[in-house]
Amino acid sequence: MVNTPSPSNIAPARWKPGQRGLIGAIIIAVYIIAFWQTETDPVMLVLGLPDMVKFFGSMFPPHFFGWDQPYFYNKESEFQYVLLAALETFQMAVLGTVIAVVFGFVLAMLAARNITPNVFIYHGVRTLCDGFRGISEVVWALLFVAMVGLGPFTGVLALAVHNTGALGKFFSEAIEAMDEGILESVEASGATRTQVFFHGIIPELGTLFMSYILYYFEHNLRQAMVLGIVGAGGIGIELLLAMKYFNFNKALSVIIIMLVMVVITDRLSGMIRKRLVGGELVVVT
Amino acid sequence: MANTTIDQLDELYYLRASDRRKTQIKHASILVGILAISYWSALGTEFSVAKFINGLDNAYDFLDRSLPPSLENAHRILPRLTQTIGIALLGTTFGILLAFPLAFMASRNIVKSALICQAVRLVIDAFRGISEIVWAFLFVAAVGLGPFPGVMALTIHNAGALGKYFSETIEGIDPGIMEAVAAPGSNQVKLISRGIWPELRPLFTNYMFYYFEASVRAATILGVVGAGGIGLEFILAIKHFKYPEAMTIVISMWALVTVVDRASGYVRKRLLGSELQRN
Repeated sequence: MVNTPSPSNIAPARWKPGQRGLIGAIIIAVYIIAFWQTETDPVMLVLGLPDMVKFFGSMFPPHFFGWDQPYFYNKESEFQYVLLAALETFQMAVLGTVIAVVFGFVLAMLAARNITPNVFIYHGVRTLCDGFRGISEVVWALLFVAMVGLGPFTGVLALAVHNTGALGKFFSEAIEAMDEGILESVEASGATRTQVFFHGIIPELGTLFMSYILYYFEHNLRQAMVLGIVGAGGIGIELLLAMKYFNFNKALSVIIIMLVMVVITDRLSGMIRKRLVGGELVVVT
Repeated sequence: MANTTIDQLDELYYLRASDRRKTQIKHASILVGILAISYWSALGTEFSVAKFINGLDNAYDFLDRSLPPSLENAHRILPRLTQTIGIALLGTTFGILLAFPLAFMASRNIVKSALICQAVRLVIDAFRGISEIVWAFLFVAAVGLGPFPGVMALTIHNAGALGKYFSETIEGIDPGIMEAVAAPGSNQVKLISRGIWPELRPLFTNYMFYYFEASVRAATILGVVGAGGIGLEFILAIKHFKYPEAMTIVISMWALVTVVDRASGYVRKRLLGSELQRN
């Protein structure tokens, strides 16, 4: 959903004093369990701090050129090679997003109650979207590895499936919140569902869809970078190998390349978003 | 008289038509550009429908071997699920605590020094730009295996992400209120609590819940790099070819994410009431 702040006319629901104490106790109990379950110990954190500083210190300086680590699969593991992996990551994110947008629109039309009145289709597609979205890309990638083997194609499929669910959900929520009048007037002219989409929904929600798509592209780029860790292509494999060989300086240089990519994408998409919505703060949640 | 009106309408019509033509050309060229980039990406990622269709056999085989889900590892799954929620909860809480100072220091209407602002933004970008799993990878290398590096990874990533969105919200505060706060002799505490905080609260709360939900989703897979949670069981089951167990874990991950999303949505609504208007 997209939320914009609005002046509060009606106060939010308040808790009764008795309820408040109970909720406070539950929250404290939950935190205690969380600390215990995650073995989080402030004392250990302080004691472990020197080790951590030593580790992160050992990553500096980044080692960009002349990597001579004799990897088993490519002897001349040069800077250029990592840049190619970075490019592949970008391509994975692009293709994953494009496929997800196309299928996301189709699912969204079927999962929007005001377009698809059939209860079975509506609930079925909604459950499908939740299923796609509820399982993260990395898990999808691990499942797809069994299907199509290792490589960037697996990563694309994983990104596409997860994001089809996510975009389908958000698009359909946006369509459901649409002004009824617009849909009615387009439908009254005898438009087919495709025509309703292109002439009723896109002109109305195009910019909103665009900001979702940009948000998910950024997200996909970040996810594409880690898919390599499970063998689904992209720059993640370089990070994995560097870490496995304790070549932390190389790992840092890979991370810096990742970071530069993410920051550039973030700035570009920020610019596009600003141009589309005129600097208005659009919150994707 | 009548002629001029018709002429004007005519002119208007042609103007509109040429405008429409221009936007059509613009949209068409954007579409062609996107298609070209997609095609190039498809080449680069070895995308092939044939491979996908051939893979359907393998998928069938995989499903055949993994269904029905086995409950043999159920006793190990439950504690891992609570651990996953614990990682997400602590990661979000600490992230929020770290995000507040970062956000205020990164806002131009709070901090006057451009240098400090840009430096803090750089930190925020670095925290946010590196994904949770990479952070977890680094923290596992730094402090060893276990759920704690997962908490730290989520803390750092969330601090960056929330820091960015918080500071965007802060920069959107009405400048009038900011001036009133800065004015000498003003009751600053009251102005901040009555003027600024109500403006920030709805969006801040929304972001916090959103990132809690995102953290739960991320925490389910942190185990893949050894940082605790349900992902650890999943990767072990996959590596040992225990597909029925892996299937149970996937289903439980999905159930966890769905339940947390619903619960968090309920609490969010309860806390915010009608303060956030959906549009």
